[in-house]
Amino acid sequence: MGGAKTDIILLNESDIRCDGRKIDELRKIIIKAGVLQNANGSSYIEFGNNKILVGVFGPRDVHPKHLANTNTGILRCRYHMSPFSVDERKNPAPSRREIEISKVIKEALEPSVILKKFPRTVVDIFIEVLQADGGSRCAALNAASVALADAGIPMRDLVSACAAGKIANSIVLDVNNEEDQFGQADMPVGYMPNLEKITLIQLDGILTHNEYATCIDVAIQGCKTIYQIQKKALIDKFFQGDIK
Amino acid sequence: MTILDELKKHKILELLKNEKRIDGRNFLEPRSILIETDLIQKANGSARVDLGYTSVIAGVKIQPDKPFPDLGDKGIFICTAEILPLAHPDIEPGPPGEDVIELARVVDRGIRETNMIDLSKLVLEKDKSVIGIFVDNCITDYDGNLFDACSYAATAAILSSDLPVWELKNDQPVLLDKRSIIPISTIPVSVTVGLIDSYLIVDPNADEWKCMDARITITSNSEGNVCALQKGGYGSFTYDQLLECSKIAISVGSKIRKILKQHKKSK
Amino acid sequence: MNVVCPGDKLSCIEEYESNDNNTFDDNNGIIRSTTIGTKCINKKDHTLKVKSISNISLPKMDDVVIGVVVSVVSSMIIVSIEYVNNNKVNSKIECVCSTRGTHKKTMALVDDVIALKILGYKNGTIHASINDPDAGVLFTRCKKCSGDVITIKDGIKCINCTWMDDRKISRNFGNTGFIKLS
Repeated sequence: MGGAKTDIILLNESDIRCDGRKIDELRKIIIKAGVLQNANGSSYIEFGNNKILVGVFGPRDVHPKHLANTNTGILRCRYHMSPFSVDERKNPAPSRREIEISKVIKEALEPSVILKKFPRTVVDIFIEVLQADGGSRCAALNAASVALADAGIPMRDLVSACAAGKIANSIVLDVNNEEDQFGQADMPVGYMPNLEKITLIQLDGILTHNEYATCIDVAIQGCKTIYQIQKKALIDKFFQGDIK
Repeated sequence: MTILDELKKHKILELLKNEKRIDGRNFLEPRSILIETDLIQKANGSARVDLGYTSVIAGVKIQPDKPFPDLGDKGIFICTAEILPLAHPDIEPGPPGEDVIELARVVDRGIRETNMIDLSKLVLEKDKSVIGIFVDNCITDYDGNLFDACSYAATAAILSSDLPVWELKNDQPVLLDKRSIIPISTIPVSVTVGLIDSYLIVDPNADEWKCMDARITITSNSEGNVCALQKGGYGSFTYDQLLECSKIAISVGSKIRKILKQHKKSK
Repeated sequence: MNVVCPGDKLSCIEEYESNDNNTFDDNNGIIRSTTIGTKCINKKDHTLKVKSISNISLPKMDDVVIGVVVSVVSSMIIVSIEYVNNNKVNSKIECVCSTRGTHKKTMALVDDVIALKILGYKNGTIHASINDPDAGVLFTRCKKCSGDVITIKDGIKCINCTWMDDRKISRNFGNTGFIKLS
């Protein structure tokens, strides 16, 4: 979280943000399910300028075998950024940031999946960020949840994710790259909309207790909107959109 | 080769004897090629190529760099490839194996040896500062013949790329507010021919790839000359087969070049 | 039609009952779906279930699987499954097949292609049976010279070196119909 000095006006007098959005407005989101040929489940998301592809394999045998759990199936997740996904070419070897995000996403999805019936197996989630913008972990989480459902993995709920943050002393929905760099706080939230449970939350930046409460609330409202887009992507794939 | 692959090979061979391929193509017919460019705005150039069900996304990144010590009067060109683990169930994440390294080097060589990019025009100051062009191929779906798919993706990405302009100020490259295009001298096209028994087939798909005895990837330039090639696989070619392969690569390549050309950016 | 996604509310536990694999009780008195599919309500006996549309490729009881033998131990063979009911699987999984209680010395050897019938899940492993007439070895080679073999009563014979060996042969031995090419 930057708070760094900039010439960019993050919020103008009529509460319009640097990319033209209102404070409670999401960026443009497109989700497609079932985009890959070889994966058991897959999805593609465009979330603002984020472009992310997710493939899911499994349940399948675990290699190396010692990782297998005799009581339940396990979940593995790899979040990876393509070398051309960011302004400066990124080394293809996984960075500490990518490894941390992989873990955070895995733990955000863990409460939603039911793997008890598939002991000694693994479900692998591979996330490829083709183009990164602010909020790529939320975008990736949305896509990963759709890909898991596409693969037919039993789930208690979908996980929807969206960030809220503080810029120019206002709480806003869905922090973009500039707001992340120059704003005051960024808080990604992952949420199971039917079960009303939060599975991912992080914060960098400073918030008062009241702002913190508002931030969570704003993020949850965003998640609920995204949930409808996720659901539509799945219904479009499986029912060709011929139902409501 | 597993026993299942042997059974597959047997089936494929039976079809070839009746002049048929498993997906109904002619022996010298590549699969459909779909190209979309400029899909990654953060890259200088980008292309997605679907060769049948094989799918590759290539991105071009251009940045100032130090030249190689023995090539001070030339810009840098580096091409890489990665098979993403989401492309196929057998791919495990981790550093690239020998097959992927070979793939990247063959694609790199095809573009380098045809002199597609005039690297001598990418020098800011001799021996000190040059422009580096990085092309990264990400394979997102696997159905055989990655050599050609990556080559087309890399070529289309380069053709559609813009070239930022730098100027040296106090020995430091400073980015100017104007754009140029990459100096292109020819369009390389790689064509991979597989050998199964005595049959030569263009653009083998995954099942054919697994069963073939040998393969050869031949890259030709716009003038119709052979510029780079690589034989692979455990089998061997006869002299006559090699001549035939080169003829095939040049004639099939010239058709594919027309498709690639449509994505060339003009000034 | 009643399209549901994972997490969607199907009913209260007071209203309907469900023993379906595709539903769960969320501990707050609500039955929810675990999958994408359609909701089917039986008003007569007050039960409901979800007909799933996105299926995982794991085999179920009575499915016929075809795979490759990956190891043979004293009383069982382990098979890596390649096809479930003639559909190629993308996510490989192993099953075990007991070979106890047969008079044959060898039921199958490593690398044999074999058909099995799934019995079910026990202690986290998939168990399969080789006793069905369709089940058994579909392809194998001579263990002495890797030559082609023909079936004889209760086993195989190499056409190259005439070596004979025990096998549990499927009645579909030699049929490659299950192999699908793109």
